Amino acid sequence: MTREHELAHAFAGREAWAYEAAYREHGGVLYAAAWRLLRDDAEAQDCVHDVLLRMWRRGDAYRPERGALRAFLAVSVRNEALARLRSAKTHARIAPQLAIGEAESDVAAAVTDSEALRGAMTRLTQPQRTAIELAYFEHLTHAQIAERLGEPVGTVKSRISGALRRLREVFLPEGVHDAG
Amino acid sequence: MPVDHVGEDAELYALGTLDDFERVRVARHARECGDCARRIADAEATVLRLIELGEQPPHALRPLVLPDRAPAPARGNGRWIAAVAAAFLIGLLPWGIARVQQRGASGGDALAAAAMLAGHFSHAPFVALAARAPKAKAIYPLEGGWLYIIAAPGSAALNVAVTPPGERRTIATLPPSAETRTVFVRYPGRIDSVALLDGATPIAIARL
Repeated sequence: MTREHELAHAFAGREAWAYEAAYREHGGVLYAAAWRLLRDDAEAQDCVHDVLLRMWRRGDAYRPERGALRAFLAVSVRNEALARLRSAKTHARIAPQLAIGEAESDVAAAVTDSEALRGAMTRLTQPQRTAIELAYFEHLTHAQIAERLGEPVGTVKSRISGALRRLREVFLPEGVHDAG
Repeated sequence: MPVDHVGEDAELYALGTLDDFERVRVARHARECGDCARRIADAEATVLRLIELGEQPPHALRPLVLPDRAPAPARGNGRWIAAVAAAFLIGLLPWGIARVQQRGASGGDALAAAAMLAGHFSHAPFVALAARAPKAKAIYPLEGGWLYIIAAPGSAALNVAVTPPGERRTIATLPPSAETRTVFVRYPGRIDSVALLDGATPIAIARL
């Protein structure tokens, strides 16, 4: 059993050392997932802590057979950050930071990320790219994207889904984290 | 064996573009369907890669302290629980302090206070799904058994519905009031999320 598998199984078994180890090993990317959305240091840290503590208390959130622990945690934290972002209270508090990003109306220009990420985006069709940029970088729901683009919701969902599957193909040669 | 596979909702789930009810449906299905769980895992791995390749935060993360690993309170100092509960309520309710104090230890609030004193509890804010949703929070014990809803004043009665594994179920009603509204409900089952409904329309949801 690899270290990753051991950690994943211990995390699923609600062993305290596994939660602490997962936090040490994956905390950086979890914080990045939250901070990228919330743009507020304290709010992002609270977001990561809340997700880990909620999982610790419930104890049944993760099962190793459902996929890699690191990816599961990252998506869980990102979803919590999205929920906070969409709540009126949090939005009002961090609106000044968000306004900076929103002012950059060209989504592609707002993607101040790595060359690898920008390169991956060029491998998508333009409709796919637009859809996933609105979903991932502008954090819109598919209903909001459909309204923004004037397209049926079903079309938007298919484009987002196709874009993410295409990105997976692009990332695979680099070695996506498939280990549990 | 589930028949309605999640399909492209797997990618939407990982990206966080589904609403809360859809998310619950996908998560529940994935618990029983290996194929869909694997597709969701693939999508999550791709989202993880997007995060790893994206802009990184400027600060380091502070340490995590798990509750059960935190130092226990000193013996003979049992009043700390009541103090925490009181501070928690007051801190939660800058718009409702007077109401909490007025109610003192009577009615549903007394039951809620007693339940909080008896165990560990957490809270979750309601996320508004409609502009008319009042500010509200759900307080619940980590071990399950009850639910305490606090909501800002409003002129419309609101139904409280839970989404345990199974169908959504209305378990209580918050009456219209010019003051802060609370309702305490004993609920033995597992609760994934709580919704406030105007009639049958969800207007706010809290994920526990």
